[in-house]
Amino acid sequence: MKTRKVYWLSFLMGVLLLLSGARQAAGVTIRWWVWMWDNPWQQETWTASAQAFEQRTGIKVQIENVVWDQISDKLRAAVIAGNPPDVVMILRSDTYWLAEAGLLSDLTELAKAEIDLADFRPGTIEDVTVNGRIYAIPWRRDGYALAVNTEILQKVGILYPPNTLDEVKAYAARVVEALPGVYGWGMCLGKKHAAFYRWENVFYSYGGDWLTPDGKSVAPNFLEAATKAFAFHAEMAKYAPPSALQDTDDDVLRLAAAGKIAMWQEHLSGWRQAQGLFTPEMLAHVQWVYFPEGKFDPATRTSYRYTGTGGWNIAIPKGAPNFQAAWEFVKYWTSPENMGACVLTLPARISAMEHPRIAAIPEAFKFGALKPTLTGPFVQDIRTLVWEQLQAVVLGTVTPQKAAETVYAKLNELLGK
Amino acid sequence: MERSVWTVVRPLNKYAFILPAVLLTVGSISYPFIYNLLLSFYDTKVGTLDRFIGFSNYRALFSSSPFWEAVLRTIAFSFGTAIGAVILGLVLALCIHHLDLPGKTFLLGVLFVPWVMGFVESGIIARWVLHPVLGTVGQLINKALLSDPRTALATVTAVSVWKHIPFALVTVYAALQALRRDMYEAAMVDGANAWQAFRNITIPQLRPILFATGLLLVIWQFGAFTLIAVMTEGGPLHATEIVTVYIYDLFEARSFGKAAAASVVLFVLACILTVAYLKLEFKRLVEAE
Repeated sequence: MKTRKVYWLSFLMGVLLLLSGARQAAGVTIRWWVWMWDNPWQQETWTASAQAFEQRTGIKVQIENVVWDQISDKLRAAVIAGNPPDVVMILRSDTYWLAEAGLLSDLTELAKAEIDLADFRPGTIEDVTVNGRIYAIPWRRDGYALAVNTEILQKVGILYPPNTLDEVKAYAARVVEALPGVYGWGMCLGKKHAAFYRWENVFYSYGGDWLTPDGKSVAPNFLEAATKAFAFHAEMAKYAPPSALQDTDDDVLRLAAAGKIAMWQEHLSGWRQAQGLFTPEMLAHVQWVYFPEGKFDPATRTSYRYTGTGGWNIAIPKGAPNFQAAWEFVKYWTSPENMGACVLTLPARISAMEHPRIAAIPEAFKFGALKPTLTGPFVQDIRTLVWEQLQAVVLGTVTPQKAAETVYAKLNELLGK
Repeated sequence: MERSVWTVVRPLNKYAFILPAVLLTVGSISYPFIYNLLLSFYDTKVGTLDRFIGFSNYRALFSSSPFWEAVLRTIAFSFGTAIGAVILGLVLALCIHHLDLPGKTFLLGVLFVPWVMGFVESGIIARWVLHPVLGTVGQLINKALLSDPRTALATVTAVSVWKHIPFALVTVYAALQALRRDMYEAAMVDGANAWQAFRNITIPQLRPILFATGLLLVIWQFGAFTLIAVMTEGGPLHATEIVTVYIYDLFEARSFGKAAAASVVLFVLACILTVAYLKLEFKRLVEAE
C-alpha cells in the first residue's frame, strides 16, 4: 500500500516536471489586445503578420480580441488587477487619460533610440506625448470625406459635388423637393461617437477650435463656430430621413447602399465597408470628395477643408509581464512595411503611404486637412454633451446658440475656469 | 479513538462536498459587491479607492433629476414589460390550452423562439424591422418610433414584452395543466358560460402564478441593459435612459464612484422587490400544502 502511494506520487511529480520543462522550452508568449476584427481580411492579414514575427523572433503572439470601445476600460481594470496584456491597441482619444492615470509604460527612451520618429505624420507623436514623455507609438490616423451619390444629384440637375457647406444645404433641399422617398443628407444621431465626430468636422469646417494652444482655455472662436455647426445640423435634419435620431453610422451606410441618401459624411473605415456593401453600380455612382469648408475666398481660393482625425496607437501597459518582448513586437508592428501592409485606414508613418494598398484610398481621405479630434481627460463628458445638444437642437427643444453656450460653459467648468 | 473521531466527522461530509462550490460562488459575488460598495464612498477616475468622500456620491445622486427620471423610466419599462408579457402570455396560453390539434408542442416551441434569442440579436432585428425607411413594419406605419422621444420608451418596452412573452406563456401554460377540472364541471352544471368560468374559476386559480411571474419579470427588467443599449443607447434625448444605462454612461465618463453609488441604489430597489417576491412564493407554497 505504502509502496503504491510512493509510485503514484513519483509519477505525478514527473509529469509536473515534464510539463514545466516543456513550457520553458516553448519561449516567451506575449498577449496582444486587438479590437474585434473589422473584416476577414484584417483577421487573416494581422494573424499572418503576427505569425511572421513569431517565426523571425521566436516570440509567440497571442491575439485577444476585445470590443473596440471597451479596450480602454478593460485595460484599466487589467492593470489595476495586476494582469495586463503585454501589448494593446488603444484609441487615440484615450491615450492621454490612460497615460495620465499611469496605466501605460513610458516608451520615451526606447522610442527615441530605436524608432525614426521623424517618419511619423505631423502631430501624431504629440498625440502620444504626455508631459513630455512618449507613452505609445502611433499606428493609424483616420479622416473623413464627403460621400456624394452623383446619380441622385444628376437627377435633380446638379453636376458637381458641393464645395461649401451652403451648397451642401442647397443641394440637399433640392433633392428632397424633387425626389420623394430620397433624402438629401444622412445623419447618424443614434450613436454618440459617430454623431460627435461628424459634428466636429462641421465645427472645424466653420473654422472652430476647442482650446487655446496652451490647452488652458476655450478657444476664442469656439462659440461662433459651434453655433454654426449646431445650426447646420438643425437645418440638415429637415433633409435627412425621419430615422436620423436613431440611425447609427452603419444605418446611414445601408441607407446609402439602398440609394436613399444623396450625401453623407463618411469615415475612412466606412469607405472600406462600402466596398463590400455597395453593388458595383452604386460604387460607380459614389464620389468621395474633400469635406466642404464653410469659409471660401474665391479671389484667393483660400479654404479650410478640415475634418477631425481619430485613430489608434499601440502601447505597452504598465506592469506588462514581458516588456522586452512586447517592445520588439511594437517596433515590428509599427515598421513602415508592416504598417503599409496591415493598416485599415491611413498609416501614421509618412513612408508607409507609399504602400500600394494605400494608393487605392480616395484622395479626399489621404490628403484632406486633418485637425486632431478633441482629446484629454474630459473628452467623454464633452462628447456626451455635444450628442445631447445635437439631439435637442434637431428636436427643436434648444436653439443652436443655446446648445453652443451649454457646451462652452461645460468646457470652462472642466478647465476650472 | 479513531471511531469516535469518524463519528464526529462523517455528518460534516455533506458540507465538505458543497463547500468548494459555495466558496466559489460567494467569493465571485461577494468580492465585487463589497468593492463596489466601497467605491461608492470614494471619488475616483480610475476605479481605485483614491479619495474618501463619504456620502457625497449618494447626495449628488439623490439631488440629480436625471437620476430620478431614469428611475421613473425604469419603473415604467419594468412594469410595462411585466404586465404586457403576462397578459399576452396568458392569452396565448389559453389559446394553446384549448387548441385540439396535433403539433401543439411544436407550436409552443416556435412561440418560444424570442426567449432563446439573445438580447443583441433581438435588439438589432427590432431596430431594423421598425426602421421607417427600410423596415417592413416601420414603412407600414410610416413613423420613426425610435426617433421620437414620445414613443421611444413605449417602443423598446413593446420589444421587451415580445421577448418575454414566451416565459409568461410557458409558466401560465404549465399552471393551466394543473387546474382543477371538477370545478369547471360543477360550473357547467350550474349553468355558467365560458366567460363566467374564466373569470370566477380560472383567474382566481391562476392569480398567484400570474402575480409571481409578473413580479419576477419586473425584478429582471430592473437589471435590463442590452436591449436598450443596442436599440437606442438611451436616446433620443434620454427618453429611453433607464438606471442601468445611466450607470453605464457614468462609467463611460469615468465617474466610478457615482456609478457605484447608483448601482447600490438599484440593488436596494431590486432587493425590496425580491423580498416581496419570495414572501409571495412562500405564501403560495404554504397554501398549496
